[in-house]
Amino acid sequence: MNRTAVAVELRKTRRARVVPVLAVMVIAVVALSSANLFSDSMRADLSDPSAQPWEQLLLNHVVVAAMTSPVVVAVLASRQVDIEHQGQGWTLARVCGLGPGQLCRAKALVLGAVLTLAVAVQSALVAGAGLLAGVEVAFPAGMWARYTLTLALVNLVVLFLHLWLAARVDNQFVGLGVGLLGAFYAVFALLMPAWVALALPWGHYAAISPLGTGPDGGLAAVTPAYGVLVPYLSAVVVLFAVACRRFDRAEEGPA
Amino acid sequence: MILAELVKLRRSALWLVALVLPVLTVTAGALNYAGNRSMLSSGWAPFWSQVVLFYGLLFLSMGVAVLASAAWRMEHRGHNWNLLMSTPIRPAAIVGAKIAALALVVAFMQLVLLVLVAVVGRLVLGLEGMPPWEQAAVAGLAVVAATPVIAVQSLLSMSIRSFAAPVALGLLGCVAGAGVLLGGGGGVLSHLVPQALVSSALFLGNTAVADSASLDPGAVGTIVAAAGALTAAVWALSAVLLARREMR
Repeated sequence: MNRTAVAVELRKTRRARVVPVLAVMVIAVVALSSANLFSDSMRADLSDPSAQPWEQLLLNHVVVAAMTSPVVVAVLASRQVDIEHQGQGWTLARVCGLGPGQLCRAKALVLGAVLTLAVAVQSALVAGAGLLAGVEVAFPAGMWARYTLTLALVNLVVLFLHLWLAARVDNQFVGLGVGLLGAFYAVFALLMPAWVALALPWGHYAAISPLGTGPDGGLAAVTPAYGVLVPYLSAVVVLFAVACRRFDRAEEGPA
Repeated sequence: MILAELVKLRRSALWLVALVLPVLTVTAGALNYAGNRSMLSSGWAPFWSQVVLFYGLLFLSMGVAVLASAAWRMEHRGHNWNLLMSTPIRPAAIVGAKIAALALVVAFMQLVLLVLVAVVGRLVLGLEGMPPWEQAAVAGLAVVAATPVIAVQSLLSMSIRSFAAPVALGLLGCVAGAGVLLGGGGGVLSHLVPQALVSSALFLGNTAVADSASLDPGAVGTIVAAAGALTAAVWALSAVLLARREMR
């Protein structure tokens, strides 16, 4: 990876206000996920294992993350790539010896790192809200960590797709429209059979949910279909790498 | 002016979102209703409640955010600002025409939603009769309630050259609106946050949302009054900004 390209992309993230956007979204997601923890009706359930307070909180996080993450990723990818479309950045980078594919890989690295960090902070803050509210039931650390890890991975894959789309189509409407419809798909995939969720990358926000409905109607731990998820996610990473190589070989910019 | 704005939007891909969003909404609502028939009571009301659940909470307002960015995008391109501002048209009329054109697009979305609910409910889910008039009233009221969101997103998209930034701010508004409603902080606050107003309107008489108000003249009147006041305030602010600031 070209260090100069990464350093330049880091500077562009400042211009695109990536960190403030993510920080505000993380706070919003945490607030929305944990809003009902502090309600009077929930207070009695915080020390009752049968009320599953941690599971309820994690499920709220799953729903809110599925609703917001696709749009946030689309916004970040779109802003980071639009700089090149608006300011002849592809040509400028090419003159400096950086192909469009290299630029896209650097963007993926920088945005991916920031996004992953944001997911980790967000997940920790949601758990922190539970502790702050006074949940006394044992914390399901393994389930929480697995969900956080898979959420970060799905975010990365969707980021790769949106970076490719934003590079190919200079009209940001397309990327954000796809992000919006993707968010819609992600939310409704939570209510659909697993194969529907696995069919499109945005549905994976639902497919990674570690919770489902148990036989008694309560929440039960489920194992996401990692056997399908991992190859699928790996394939998108390979396709992104191939697309970047093609960008580098193209005579003009990627769009 | 409004006609001119609609002509500008004629070849825009914005109509695709205006069509696909209601189609997805009704499809997902129908699948959810069909999959949970044992738990839901039968009829048009539970079906409608499933259809508008997430649409009211997030996706209608987010759709408006994307549509507003798309509508203002063309003015940020090339020398369109110079052309637009050198016409003998008042800034209030320019902004008003944009808001009205976007409101017509939202009305189109709601019409598609209603027609699809009727067709899918009758032919696919086998519901009896036709959807009750209350659902048409709620769909129509949602257009009025969405006008402040249109005005706010229009103001943001007019002021910010970036396409994505107003959409990100719109998402934040949706989260704030959902927080206001789910946190039980209804009342005045739910009528001041534009996105919460859209949710309040679409959730009138909703059987799937706890504490949703019923469709009565009082609730409708409050929503219409709040929507009118918010839209007028944001429209006036937009006109002042357009008159005093140089847009690029």
